[in-house]
Amino acid sequence: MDLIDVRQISKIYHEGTPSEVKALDNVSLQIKEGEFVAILGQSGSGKSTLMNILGCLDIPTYGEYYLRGKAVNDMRLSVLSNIRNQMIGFIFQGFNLIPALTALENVELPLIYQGIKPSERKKLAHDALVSVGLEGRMNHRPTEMSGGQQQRVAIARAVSTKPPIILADEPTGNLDSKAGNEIMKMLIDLNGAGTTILLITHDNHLAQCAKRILTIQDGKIKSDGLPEKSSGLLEGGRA
Amino acid sequence: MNFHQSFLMAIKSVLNNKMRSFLTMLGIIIGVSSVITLVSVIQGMQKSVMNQFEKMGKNKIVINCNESVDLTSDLYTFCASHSEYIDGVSPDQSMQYKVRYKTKTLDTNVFFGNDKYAVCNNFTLSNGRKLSYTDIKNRVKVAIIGERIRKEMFGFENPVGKKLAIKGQTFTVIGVFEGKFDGVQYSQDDMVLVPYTLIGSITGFKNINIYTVKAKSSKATKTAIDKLTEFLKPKFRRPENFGIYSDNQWMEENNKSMKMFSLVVGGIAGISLLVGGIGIMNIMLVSVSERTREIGIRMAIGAGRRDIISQFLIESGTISACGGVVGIAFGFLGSALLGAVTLKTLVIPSMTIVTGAFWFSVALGMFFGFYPANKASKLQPVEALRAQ
Repeated sequence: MDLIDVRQISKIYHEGTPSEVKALDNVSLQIKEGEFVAILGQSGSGKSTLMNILGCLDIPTYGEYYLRGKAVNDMRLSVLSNIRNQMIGFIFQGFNLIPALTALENVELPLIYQGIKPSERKKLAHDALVSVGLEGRMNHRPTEMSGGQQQRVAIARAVSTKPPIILADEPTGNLDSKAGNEIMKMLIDLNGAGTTILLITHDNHLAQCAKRILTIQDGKIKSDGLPEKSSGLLEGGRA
Repeated sequence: MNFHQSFLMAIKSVLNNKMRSFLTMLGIIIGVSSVITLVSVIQGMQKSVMNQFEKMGKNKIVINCNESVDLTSDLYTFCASHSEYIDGVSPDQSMQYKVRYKTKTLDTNVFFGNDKYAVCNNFTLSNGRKLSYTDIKNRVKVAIIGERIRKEMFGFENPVGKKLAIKGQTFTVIGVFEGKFDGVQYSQDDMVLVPYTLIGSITGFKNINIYTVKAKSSKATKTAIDKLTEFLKPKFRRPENFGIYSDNQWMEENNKSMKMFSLVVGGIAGISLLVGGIGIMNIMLVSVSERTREIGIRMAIGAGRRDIISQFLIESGTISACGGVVGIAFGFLGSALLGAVTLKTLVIPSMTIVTGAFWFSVALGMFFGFYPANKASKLQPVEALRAQ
């Protein structure tokens, strides 16, 4: 069974009005457990819309979406919240950390929504931050950290619930190349440990880190294949 | 998301926006403190009236006769046979006379009573002894004086055993009643009590027109009035020739009016609480709009509608609870100050009004916080994440 099975989905904004926008047009896609897929496309191509639908943050206007064989379209909002909490870890370009909370508290948040008791969730959040090399910054707020560190907190938050899927939307977009490489290495390591990674990017070089590249253009999948060349990052990350 | 976490978040939010939180709380602070202050002062006023009333004689029934009927003996027998709800009865006739001690003369009320007079009128002796049955029966010329007479005529002298002149007759002071109203003129302290059997020799009238009956309790007062009415009716030619009344009735009416007054004043002060609640709603709406992205992040990582609602509800409840606590402190201060100025006494708000005001402010915060909380929970995650 495919982990993600998308069948002919379309997303149309302002449907039936003069300002109608077709962000996704009849997209079908299957992703298996453990894959590292890069969704590559230019700005406005529909890749973020696809990510929002795959991440259960939005619903398609038409078509069907099955997650581990279950129809997402028919799910109630509370079930979708649970799916986002337990099955998907998000890594955003803008980090999306809550500024009023410390790194540890930010990582704890998804665990709180899971109802895990305080002592256990503190331990899990602590371990997640240690795994991204931030043991010394646990009690720092996002504003007291560099972009690379903030993104590592976001990764720790995404992996703290041990979800089967990580959705990374331009995760290196706001980082310098050194910090970006570190983040990519972490994603590669996570994939090596069995987590399915969906990397949304406009950067062809970054996309080469994935095992499979989907190119999206004008809301349609233009190509679906293997990376063209071996990435330096891949060589460094996958021993 | 559990309560503890939401509560900590709410406290953080309050501390992160101190000025805004204070201004939001201001309405609640003013509302709670004014409700507590006004209601407490009214309650203090009511208590003070009750104290005055109790000093004058609680559960006291006054019988007024407009017809020349000698009731003394029958009334005495009647009251003695109804001791389950009547403590005693005494004539309570009074006339104003000049009273002289050595060279000092004072105008005062001379009361004609019996050995139960003190019980019926809530007097206690500070010195000497009370009237005895023998004094009454043998028409002994003895007197008990009130605090005003003691203070103004005797000063530091012990009045007991001294001779007083009333209308040319000499009376020996046998006791002094404890002051109820600081010995003020025209108060119950401004009096001299003599045996009622001397009324003829002093006033020239033989009949007693006023009696005071002391009931055992407030409940017994009502029964005693009914029984006394029944007993007295056949003794008079017409029912309007006698009257029975008790201050308890007046007191009950007064209590009712005070409660109503307190509700009205509390209600008016409560309007400021309502305004405070609207202030909370306003700020929570601003907070939701400022934190749209945060709401989106929370939704993306698994917060459900219920989590978002409870977070904002707990936040608005916490803000109003903090306002409530500060308001209670100001309420205590306001009650003490206003009580000292208006009632010359220390007014302390009752626990009922304090806890009531606190929980009402929390409920108000949550009530007015519900709309913004619900609005936040209805945001689409993808839309919320796009917010700046």
